[in-house]
Amino acid sequence: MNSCFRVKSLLSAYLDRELSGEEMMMLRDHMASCADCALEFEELRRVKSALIRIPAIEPDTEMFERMKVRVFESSDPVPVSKSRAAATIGMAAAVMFLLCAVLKWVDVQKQTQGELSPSSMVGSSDTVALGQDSSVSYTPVMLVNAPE
Amino acid sequence: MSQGVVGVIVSWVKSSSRSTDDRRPLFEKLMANSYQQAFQMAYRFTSNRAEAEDLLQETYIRAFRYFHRFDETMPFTAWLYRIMTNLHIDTVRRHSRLKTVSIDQPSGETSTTWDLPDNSAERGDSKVDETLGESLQRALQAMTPEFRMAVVLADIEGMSYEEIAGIMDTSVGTVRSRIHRGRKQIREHLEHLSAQGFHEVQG
Repeated sequence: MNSCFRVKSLLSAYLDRELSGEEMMMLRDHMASCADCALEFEELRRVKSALIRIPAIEPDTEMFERMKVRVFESSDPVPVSKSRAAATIGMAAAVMFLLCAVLKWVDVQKQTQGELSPSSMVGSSDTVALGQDSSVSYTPVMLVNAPE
Repeated sequence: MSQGVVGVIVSWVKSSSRSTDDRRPLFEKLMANSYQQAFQMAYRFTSNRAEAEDLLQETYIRAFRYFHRFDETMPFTAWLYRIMTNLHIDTVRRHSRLKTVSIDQPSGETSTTWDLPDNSAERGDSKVDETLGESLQRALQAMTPEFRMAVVLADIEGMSYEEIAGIMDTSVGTVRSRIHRGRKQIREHLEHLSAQGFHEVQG
């Protein structure tokens, strides 16, 4: 029969009900009158049903615990946080650098101020200066280092 | 005041690492819910317990590493099988390449690509575990990985062609053809066995 070739190529999809309604009917009608195709279909059906009934394999009882340890210890840094970690270290380094610079600057200021007016040494001039500078310098660092 | 600056750094570091900590319990839960079923798949792919465990472990390692890319609208197992099928294909290709090299190039010209030591290659010919489905498993083992995976996902996992196409990153037409050819190969394998005097699973 002329359509046997086409029918045979669709037998698995027919078995899995993965054909259009029209094709399903075409195959059903064809196999009603074609013993060769019907036999091949039956063989494929047996293969599928044997696979469906294949006995389950149980993993050994410690596998899950074993695997959990290996999964979490070997893949702790996640790429997202990898780039974040780099940014964090970068930012921390930048902030520390600026902090040192600010402290040094405050130091220098103290000395200069001390030379000019000894009375201004008391009070919280260094604290104010540091507070202002660190907050000012913090913003550009974020812009430079922030991921994305 | 420098404490304030340190505080800002600490809180920023914390916020950037929090996402990893948050992901772990969720991933662990998904892992606990999926590992038995996923082990079935890995075993059907590899035909061997030790290799199945290796494959599954590598799959989870990758899945956790790229967990931020997981689309939660998709079933976790579908995503997991996608990773597993890719890993399995890679492993099989590496094995077959190593085997081809050892036959075709006994000595003489050595290629740097194949010089990497690979212990897993030695396990390639390992025996199939003794099970009731042994002959079916042998038939699966004899197939090319693409056919094997399509058949396993369809018949053992019960997935639709569309789901399989998503997992294997191919068209529904290709899936249809792989399943059909795969089943025919299994049938031939079983026929061959029964011709040798084995009475095989039928039904």
